Amino acid sequence: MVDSGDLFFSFQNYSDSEKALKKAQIIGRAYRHMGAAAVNVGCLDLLRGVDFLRQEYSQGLPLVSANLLDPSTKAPIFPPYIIKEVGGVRIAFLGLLPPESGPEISPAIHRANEGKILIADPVEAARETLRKIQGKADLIIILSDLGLYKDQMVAKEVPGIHFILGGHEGRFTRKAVRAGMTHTFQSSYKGMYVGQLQLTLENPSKPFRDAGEVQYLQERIDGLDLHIRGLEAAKMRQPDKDNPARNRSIREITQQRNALQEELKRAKEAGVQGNRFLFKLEALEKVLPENEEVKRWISGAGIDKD
Amino acid sequence: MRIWFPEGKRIYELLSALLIGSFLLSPASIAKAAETEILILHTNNVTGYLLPCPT
Repeated sequence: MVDSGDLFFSFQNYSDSEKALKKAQIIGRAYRHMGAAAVNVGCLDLLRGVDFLRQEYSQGLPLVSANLLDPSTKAPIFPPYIIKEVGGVRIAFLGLLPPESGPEISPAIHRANEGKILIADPVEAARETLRKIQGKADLIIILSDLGLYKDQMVAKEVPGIHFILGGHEGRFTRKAVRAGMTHTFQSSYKGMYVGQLQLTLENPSKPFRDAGEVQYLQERIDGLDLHIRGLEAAKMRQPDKDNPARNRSIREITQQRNALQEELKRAKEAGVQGNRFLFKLEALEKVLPENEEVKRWISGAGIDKD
Repeated sequence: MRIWFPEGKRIYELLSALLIGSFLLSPASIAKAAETEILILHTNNVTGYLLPCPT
């Protein structure tokens, strides 16, 4: 279980000190208790100052960040990566956060961390960290708070990353966003969904295929078919009325549908052999029941209504 | 489609549910002789978020 950041604070609540701090401490405690493998530092996690994160780390929360540095030593404040061995496969989880987070948030982060942090260029930090990891890990997964656009920049400029489990915007990702050999996802926001990345490995040195591709393409084709049928039905209802815009739409959607059909054919022919992944976003309440112990912590802190 | 959840409650539901999940879901098992299966659970922006939108 891993987290990509912006776990503790929101820009709206960080100044409401006591309550926000209690919530953040319970979140940290729960993630430790769950045995989280790695937790990336997100920009909003710095709103209460890096000392809060140092405390969480000292209590056992496995924080990672490759580009959050101590300004005096230029060394990472937390480990840049963590390697976990699962079923004989060594997985490296690296953390990245953005140097700039917008005109309101960046000044707040600077105020809370005056002279205590330096956020380095994420592309350079990723490149440097991958050099250090070389030969020590079979899979490279970046936990990123950069946002999808910058994630793709990192993926293009730093070869060798298998997956980016991202965040920052809190997108609902239905399908992997691919750049080079790297597949990127986000798992929504506010804890509404849990991202499930299921990996099937035959040879970790080979690229991964998306095992959900066939289903995704079929769903898109079905959607376009429905749209075409709707337009055709409207045309049938008005046989005497010429509607060039509607006819053009039917032609364009049909072309799009046929292109997808070709893509589907290729995906089916390629089969599901070799390294593959399946990413699913599952609504939390449909998948996992609540835990009584954590509920007691929340109730004990007097913040169950927050 | 849901577009709004009370923020705090969702976070705690997530925490308590994931805790159970971490015990229920085995991180790794051998699928076939030559294959390894790994399941990674992922969260992001549990408390803070900037600009949610679909991808």
